[in-house]
Amino acid sequence: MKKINVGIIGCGAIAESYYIPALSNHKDKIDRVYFVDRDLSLANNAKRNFGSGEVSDDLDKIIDKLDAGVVCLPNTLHYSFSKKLLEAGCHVMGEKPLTLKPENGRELVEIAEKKKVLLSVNNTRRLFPSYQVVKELIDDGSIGEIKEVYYYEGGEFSWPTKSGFYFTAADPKGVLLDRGAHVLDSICHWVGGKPELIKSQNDSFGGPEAVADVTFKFKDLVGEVRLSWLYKQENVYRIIGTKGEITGEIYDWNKTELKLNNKSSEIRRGKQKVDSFSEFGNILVTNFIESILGNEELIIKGKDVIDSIEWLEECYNEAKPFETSWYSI
Amino acid sequence: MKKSNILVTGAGGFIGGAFIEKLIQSWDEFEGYAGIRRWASAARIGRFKTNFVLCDIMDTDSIEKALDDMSVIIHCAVGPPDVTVEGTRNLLEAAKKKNIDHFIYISSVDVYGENEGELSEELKLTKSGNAYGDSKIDAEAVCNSYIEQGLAVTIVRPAIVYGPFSKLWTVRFAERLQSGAWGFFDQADGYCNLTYIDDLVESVLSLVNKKEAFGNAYNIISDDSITWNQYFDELNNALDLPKLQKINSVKSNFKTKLFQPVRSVAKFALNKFPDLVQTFYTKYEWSKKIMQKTKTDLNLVPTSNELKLYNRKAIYKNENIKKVTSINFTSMKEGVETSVKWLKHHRIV
Repeated sequence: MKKINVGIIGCGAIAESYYIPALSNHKDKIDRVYFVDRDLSLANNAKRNFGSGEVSDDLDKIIDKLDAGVVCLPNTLHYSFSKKLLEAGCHVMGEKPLTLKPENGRELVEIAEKKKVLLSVNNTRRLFPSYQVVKELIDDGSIGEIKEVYYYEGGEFSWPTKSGFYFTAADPKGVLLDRGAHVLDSICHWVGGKPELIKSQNDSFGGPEAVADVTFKFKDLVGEVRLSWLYKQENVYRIIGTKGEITGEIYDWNKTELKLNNKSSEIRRGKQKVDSFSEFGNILVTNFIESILGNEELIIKGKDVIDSIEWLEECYNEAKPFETSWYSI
Repeated sequence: MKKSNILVTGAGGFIGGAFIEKLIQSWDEFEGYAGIRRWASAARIGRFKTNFVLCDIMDTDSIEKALDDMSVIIHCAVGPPDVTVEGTRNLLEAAKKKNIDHFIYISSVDVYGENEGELSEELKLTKSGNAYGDSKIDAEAVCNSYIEQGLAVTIVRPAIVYGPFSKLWTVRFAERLQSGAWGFFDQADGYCNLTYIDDLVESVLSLVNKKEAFGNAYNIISDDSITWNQYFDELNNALDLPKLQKINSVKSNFKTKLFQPVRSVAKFALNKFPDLVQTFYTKYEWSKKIMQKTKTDLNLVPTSNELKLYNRKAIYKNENIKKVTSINFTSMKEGVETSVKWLKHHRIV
């Protein structure tokens, strides 16, 4: 069996907590892992955690040795490094968001097709069994025609970022990019397209926003999203149709609740039970490796998330400030 | 005119964050620098065009680097007692080395312990056994030793600092009131000693260029002499909730005592076995429900220390800060109304 060489590009928090443990489960299919970070101490630390491999402070120095690259860099670098890898003929697994601009995302998809390599992205929630059940229930018409979609998510920002990239970027973007990349993508996936933006508001005063509201419509449905990096929100999604509704807790990824009109509610579970969040890293990486080896189809393709990237960009371009009278007492 | 560069330590916290926001929004003569230990605390102040400085007050190298080009320090960072005391010492030593013009230490009225009556800055401080208050006394003692060495240090003692972003005195009480399980306590007729966050920030920033403040300590408390029950009532009314009911002392004391062992066990489990607790929380539906219910119940029952605080008949005098600044304290009504607008915006209530 052919073994592959994989590069971890960027050895910060996400590489350490998510990808390295997942890759460790596939040592039989991996010939060598290259840990790339301009901070060699991070690369060496990652190598130590994995147990073997090579380190480098520059992707260019080792790119010709790679079959695949996992891009774990700050958001602003996703596009350029993914492009470099794809052009070198490497399969790419990108951290979300795949790119910041939709045209860049489309370009990556085109390059991947031209080079006949795979392009996947870690929009983890597409792997949530409960979210897959939601999609099935919508598609099979269980709740009739969808009329309303609500998604409220919030909690204190606690990501152990080593680079502080959200706060140091030249064009800073906050919770809408961080959590919104998942949330807007889930909504696009569920309703089957990119909604039309009605209103976007956030609390940026020149830095990355910590609270964002988005209202939208799509065909006959209207919806609202609230995201917060500061305070806990309801942390639920709710989809109301003409025949019933689906509700679920955002992080309860194994089950969702279906309530048909005039009937009592029932719990629907996904096909697969997932015990911990880190298991999704394993599912994602396994699927990526098996797809490279020709044994599986990619679950999340780069092209799947372009709608949500376009919607995100619209939300930023059209954003208005909240009324914040407590700053002028 | 060249701006004075101010390093605010603990800028990821409630009070430090308020300094940074105010420095950016309305104090043109100063340039604020947000001292944070880790990026995870940057979300609130990051919304502004903030100058960040990574700085751990227990790491002397990082402090010295952070103090390059600074002329003033507003030291808000706190931690466990050793960090509060030794971190303050580290900062003061570096401030001396770097010839900092003014070091302002944000202490607390907790240094007065359980004293009652009218308390002014001249009162001799004695430890009460409260770890937080005692560590503040020790940190103030370190400040005083540097005052004796000639460093320009001012100590500030705020009381119950409430307003937007105050988890302890605004968010927590709003949640308690909203639950319907809170009320007027027999034991809550002690003085509340509120300080609206903006008043604290404005007073301290007014002190930055005042040489007459060097070497002094200042209580910062608004003019309203109101009781805790009055504060609960004002907040409850502003939240438009049903009228509060009286909770008699026998009932509240009983519940407090009943929940004490639960509180101790929960604290012990979280400190000693955080991973195990997390596993039980995520893995089993029944344990998740029990933990959520326990957390809610514990939040709704005051601890014995809280009941003691609500009953304390202490008023902290604010004459000294009024002599050196022209601060007009925000009324409780205005402060609470503004807090509620903020709470509603964040959908906390």
